[in-house]
Amino acid sequence: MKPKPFDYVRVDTLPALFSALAAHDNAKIIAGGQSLVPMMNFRVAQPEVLVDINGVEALNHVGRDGDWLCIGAMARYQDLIDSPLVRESLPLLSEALGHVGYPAIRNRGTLGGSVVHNDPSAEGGVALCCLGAEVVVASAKGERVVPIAEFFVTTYLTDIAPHEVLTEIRIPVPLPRSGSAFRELAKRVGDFAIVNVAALVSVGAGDKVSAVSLALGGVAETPLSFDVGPAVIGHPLDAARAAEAARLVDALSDPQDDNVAGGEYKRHLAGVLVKQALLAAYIDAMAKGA
Amino acid sequence: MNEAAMKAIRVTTSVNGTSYTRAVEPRLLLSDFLRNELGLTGTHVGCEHGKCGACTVLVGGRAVRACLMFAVQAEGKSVETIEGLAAGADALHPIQRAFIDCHGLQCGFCTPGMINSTRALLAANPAPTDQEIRAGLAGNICRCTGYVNIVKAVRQAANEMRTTAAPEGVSK
Ligand SMILES: Cc1cc2nc3c(=O)[nH]c(=O)nc-3n(C[C@H](O)[C@H](O)[C@H](O)COP(=O)(O)OP(=O)(O)OC[C@H]3O[C@@H](n4cnc5c(N)ncnc54)[C@H](O)[C@@H]3O)c2cc1C
Ligand code: FES
Ligand code: FES
Repeated sequence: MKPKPFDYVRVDTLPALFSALAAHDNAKIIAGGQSLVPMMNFRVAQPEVLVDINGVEALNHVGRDGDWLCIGAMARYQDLIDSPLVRESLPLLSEALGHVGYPAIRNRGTLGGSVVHNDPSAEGGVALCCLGAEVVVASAKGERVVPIAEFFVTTYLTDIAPHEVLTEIRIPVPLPRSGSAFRELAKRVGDFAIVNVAALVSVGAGDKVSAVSLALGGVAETPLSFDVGPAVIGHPLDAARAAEAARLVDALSDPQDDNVAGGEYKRHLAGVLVKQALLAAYIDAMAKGA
Repeated sequence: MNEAAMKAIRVTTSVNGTSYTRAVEPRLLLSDFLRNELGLTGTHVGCEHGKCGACTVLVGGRAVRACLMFAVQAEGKSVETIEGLAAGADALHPIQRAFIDCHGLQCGFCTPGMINSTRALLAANPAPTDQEIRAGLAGNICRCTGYVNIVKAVRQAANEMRTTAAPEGVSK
């Protein structure tokens, strides 16, 4: 057997979850297990207690709350991809999650687990940065709400204490005349992306861009958003404006070499994908009518 | 009683329609449970980190990695492995038949996972395009065939299953 021995606790409610975490040092939550179990099989992770939240109904929801979409931490990728509510209010998220791993990974893995795990090119994290999401972090002592950009501390590290639980992801639903696009390049279908880009563009009078949001994965320690407003707001978005936005991103980022690709290559790739994503998002917004 | 035995947890799970109860250590992977506790060695183990797809089984009708689930997590669930697919040696399932007909296997190591991914794919999408077949099987690595004949086999199975037998009880 591969993982180190551990105790297993299955919980069904949030109060039971909070007390299980409070009662044990070196306890870990298991959600989809698609990052944690590989790490346990390699013995990179050696929790003494595994707290299984797969049965916590209170964490398995997707719903609209006014202008926000609220996603419970146990919502699995495939359920989010299949959800008409997500597809209609946040097509960017549906599109992005379709790029995560393979069907079998998406059938188990959760967006909540991905956010806590914080891989630098996780599609979920990139989309959530672009959309300006917040996460709800709770413990027996109460709740706190953290903007996603602050929650992502650095690679594989997030602003959450061992006794805390990520309970919900809250995402503002974009303005009516908005369009979005997600672009990525990976070596093979289902691999982690070398670079990925999420773009959200809103248009106003005269088909001019009124708001823009852009986030990239793979170019920094965590998914990161970039302010390209100065390049595109107040103008129709054409190839020249998109190229200017790509230059802004280039000036603000410094991708490093890793075992998949070199920094220079990622820099080039980021430029190409930023242009593609912005133009596609603008076309998508224009298709929503005046 | 040794420490491991003290920590054992009872798990009851249905595998290919038969209910099994066993006391297992929490760290026992579902793949090892199927192979070593139940003797169902058709679930293959290649990488044990989710990459190769050889261990793909259906849990609750969905394709999952048996190497990324603990057996205790299968409590109350229904698991389907390759052993449950054919009624007998003379009654192969159309997917199995198609893999043979189209030379969709050579050494056969990847085949149980390929076939289980195919079951899930065809249950959700009875008439996939080649691109959809490739996306559906993207998480299953084959070192032998070069994939072309696997895609062909899935196409044949899809055609046959659409025109003949009642659909399987697989939801996704
Ligand atoms: C072969 C393979 C390919 C993959 N490809 C991709 C890919 O292309 N893109 C991608 O983004 N990901 C990919 N992944 C990772 C996958 O997305 C994981 O599902 C995800 O990273 C973690 O989610 P999980 O639900 O599986 O979490 P788990 O593995 O269960 O947990 C991950 C970590 O988060 C903690 N945790 C989980 N939920 C909570 C919670 N609610 N509160 C507090 N802590 C929590 C756990 O304790 C653990 O430390 C891949 C995985 C595999 C095995
Ligand atoms: S053994 Fe499970 S995916 Fe390779
Ligand atoms: S037939 Fe040998 S690995 Fe696929």
